[in-house]
Amino acid sequence: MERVTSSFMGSFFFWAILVLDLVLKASGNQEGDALNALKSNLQDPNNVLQSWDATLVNPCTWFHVTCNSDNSVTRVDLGNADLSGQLVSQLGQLTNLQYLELYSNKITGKIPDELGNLTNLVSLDLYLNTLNGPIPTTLGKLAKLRFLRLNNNSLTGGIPISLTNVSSLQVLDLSNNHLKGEIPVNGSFSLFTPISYQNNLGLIQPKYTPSPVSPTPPPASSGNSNTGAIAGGVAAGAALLFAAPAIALAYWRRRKPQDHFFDVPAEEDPEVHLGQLKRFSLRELQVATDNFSNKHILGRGGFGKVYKGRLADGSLVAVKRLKEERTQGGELQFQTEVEMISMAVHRNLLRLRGFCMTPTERLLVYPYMANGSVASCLRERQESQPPLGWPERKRIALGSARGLAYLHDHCDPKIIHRDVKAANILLDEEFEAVVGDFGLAKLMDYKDTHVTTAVRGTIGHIAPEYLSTGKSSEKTDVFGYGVMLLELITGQRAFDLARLANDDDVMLLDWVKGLLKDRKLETLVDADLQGSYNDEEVEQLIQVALLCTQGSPMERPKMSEVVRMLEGDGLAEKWEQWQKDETFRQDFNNNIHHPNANWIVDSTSHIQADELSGPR
Amino acid sequence: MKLSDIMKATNNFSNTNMIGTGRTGTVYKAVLDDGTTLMVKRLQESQYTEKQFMSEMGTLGTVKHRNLVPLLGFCMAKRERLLVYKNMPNGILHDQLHPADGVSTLDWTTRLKIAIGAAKGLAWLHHSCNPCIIHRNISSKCMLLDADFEPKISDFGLARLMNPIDTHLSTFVNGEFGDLGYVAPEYTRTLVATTKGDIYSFGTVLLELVTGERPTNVYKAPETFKGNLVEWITELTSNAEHHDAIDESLVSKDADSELFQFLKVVCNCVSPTPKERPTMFEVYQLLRAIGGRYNFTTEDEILVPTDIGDTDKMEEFIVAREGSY
Repeated sequence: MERVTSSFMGSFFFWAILVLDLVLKASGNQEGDALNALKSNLQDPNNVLQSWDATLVNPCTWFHVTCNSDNSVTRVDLGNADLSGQLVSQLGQLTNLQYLELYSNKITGKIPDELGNLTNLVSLDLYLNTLNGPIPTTLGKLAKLRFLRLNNNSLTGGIPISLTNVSSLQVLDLSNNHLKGEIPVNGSFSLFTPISYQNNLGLIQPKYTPSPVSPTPPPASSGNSNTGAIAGGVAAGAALLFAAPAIALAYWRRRKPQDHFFDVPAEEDPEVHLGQLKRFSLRELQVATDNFSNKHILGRGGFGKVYKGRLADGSLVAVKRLKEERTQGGELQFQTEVEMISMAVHRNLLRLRGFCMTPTERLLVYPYMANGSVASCLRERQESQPPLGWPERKRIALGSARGLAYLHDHCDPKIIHRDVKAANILLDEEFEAVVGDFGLAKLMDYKDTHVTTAVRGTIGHIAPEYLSTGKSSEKTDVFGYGVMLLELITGQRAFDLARLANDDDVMLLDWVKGLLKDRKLETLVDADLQGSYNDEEVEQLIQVALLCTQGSPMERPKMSEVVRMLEGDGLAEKWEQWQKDETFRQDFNNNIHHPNANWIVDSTSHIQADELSGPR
Repeated sequence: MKLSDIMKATNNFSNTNMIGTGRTGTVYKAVLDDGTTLMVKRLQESQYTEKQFMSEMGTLGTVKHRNLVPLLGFCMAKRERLLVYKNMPNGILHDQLHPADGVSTLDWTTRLKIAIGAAKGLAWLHHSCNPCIIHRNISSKCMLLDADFEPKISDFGLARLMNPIDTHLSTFVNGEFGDLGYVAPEYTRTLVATTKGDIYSFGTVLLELVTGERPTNVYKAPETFKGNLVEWITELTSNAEHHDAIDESLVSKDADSELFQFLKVVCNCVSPTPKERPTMFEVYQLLRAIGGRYNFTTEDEILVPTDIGDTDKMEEFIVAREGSY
């Protein structure tokens, strides 16, 4: 009997292992196979799909693919990757997919009907491609879809009525296509404005458009036209009822244009999350900041004032209130940019928690940084607070470089900061550097209906090629970072340093070069350090600063190279080359009076696979 | 004037009434009930009090010259700051030089007339006006043209009305420097406004007049060239290729000598070294000599050049308040 039992148990165990193995294998293979089918159908000149290896058990380690804890694909992030080719129907097998981001590529062909099987999809971004054919009616089955952006393609046919069933839809952009027919106005479509449909000459706006504040009417049952008529009448009446106070409010606001801020009714939106991002109501932020009280101002920058706030759940936040601009509109663009900024997640980047958008207000919500900015620690600290020590300053230099390198090399599309300085480097509880204010320059661009020709930036941190041509690139940020290093070493603002150098009738960077050459480091180093620093390390940091602030963008290192230099790799060689070039430059300048104006801005270098550190 | 009158005359600051937008604000066409046409500049948000604004208007209102735009009045209402000017039928020099369809109709004689008139107005600001004024925002967008294409300089003295640079919190600028491509390179280091900075900016405008190009983007330059108009002309000069820079529509046997002399004046104005740049009075004299045969000036006011090399004199210039640095 004992022998018989043992034999039976062994057999059962073997069978169970076999079944489990088959199930696991099938599940992993299916999603990986679907993505490989996509890879096979796309041309990939930048090799962003290089890591998509079919021999792996599942696709969760592939770049640009994100999975949940069950190893199911939840995100595919391939925006702005220079891909061409067509989509594949196998994409419909990624049943746990939430974000399908394929915007800004050169994808042709049709949108597969099978995308309608992705019932967990939250965001479908196919804009800025060359897709043709109709919008599939099957998209109406996507019950959780919030963002549908198909703009700037060559889509034809009509807008499917089935889309009005997607009650979760909040952002819709079908502009710049070849669509025709009547625009639906019922269901979720009652929220959308002509902005979502512009530049589709064949689309017809129905004659009577309900007010955006109209509630969603119930769908008319197909078998009872009488009920439908009654529902329509109720909807129209409700529209009038809601429109009347809106009209009265508009009239009242016009009579008092100067009081526009406090007249805006506080929004009572339900709590809405865009992925990781929360959309706050204005009321909530007014309460959090004591109505934007001056007592709560943490600082003011180029883009607006920042207030300390405490949310209802007790957490501390920093609320940035973007400067009021007179031009209205741009809501869609603002939300798109905000979402892009929120996807830049890194230890050394300030994480965007949420935003608030009303007709006259734009606010961004960030976590509160306990130790303020590097600038405030260097120049505005209280008596009881010790100065930043040298080890902290070194760590800040490295951390901020890592954050900027991430913006340049790993964000897709890349983000140029445009205002790198000590005031925009924040410090958390552990004095780790956290880069803030990134992406805001582009955010503000949408409000400018004319081409901006005004110089923007911080005195001393403005790269020469930006001043002369208005063009920014990641090398513009490198210049700003180099000047920020000088702030970190000296404790002073670039503006004050420049005036100090000007007293010697010499440019700031030439002044620094001279002091370095004469080995008079003590003139540069912050007196607050009281000599507690390592001479060699200071010299190295000054060398990095001078490499970063060369006049020619091409000669400046990339931020990723700066990180390597600060980690101890390659600085000696670069500095030696710089000194040789400097000798040559001086001889050249003495013989010829005219500067070399031929800069080549290195902003088009594509990302090598081995430089990627992993998905965002 | 009342705000309500201006709102009505500009169609509530409608986009269709918009003439141009620049660093200091947006300019609108205004049509009064009696048919009179005016230009209204709506200044960007200012932090100055009403009293400060009134004081500035009092000062600017006394600055009068044939080549400075006449300020007819102003309006304050809560946060609005509006300046009212006489209408300029030929609009903004920038739009005349760089029209949407790409082809400017200004001939060489007209351009030379504009250059001389503008230099005269600026020379008056620098040398004859009391107190002397450094413009700080010279570009082809601040030059308006009347019915006879006589240039009228606007925006002078407005630098003080813009947001002061808060030395305590931030040295972020949002246009206070002037426009891209026009700012003298030394200015960004120290933020000390000088007459030599204005010379550089005016030199860039002169380059626009003679080349037809925009200051930040040279259409005719090779694709590999990444600099701006000033850098392009510097490169051509070092290669003795000046002639390539001249707008082809201006080239003729008669004008060749004048164009060449004009370019020489321009290159001096945009020298990277401030000390090498001429004074505005010198620029005016040189340009007037080039255009001598055209009899542009009906009256020749005698300008008495002030010696601006004297450091003490510099303090009399209207620049940002002492506390702004």
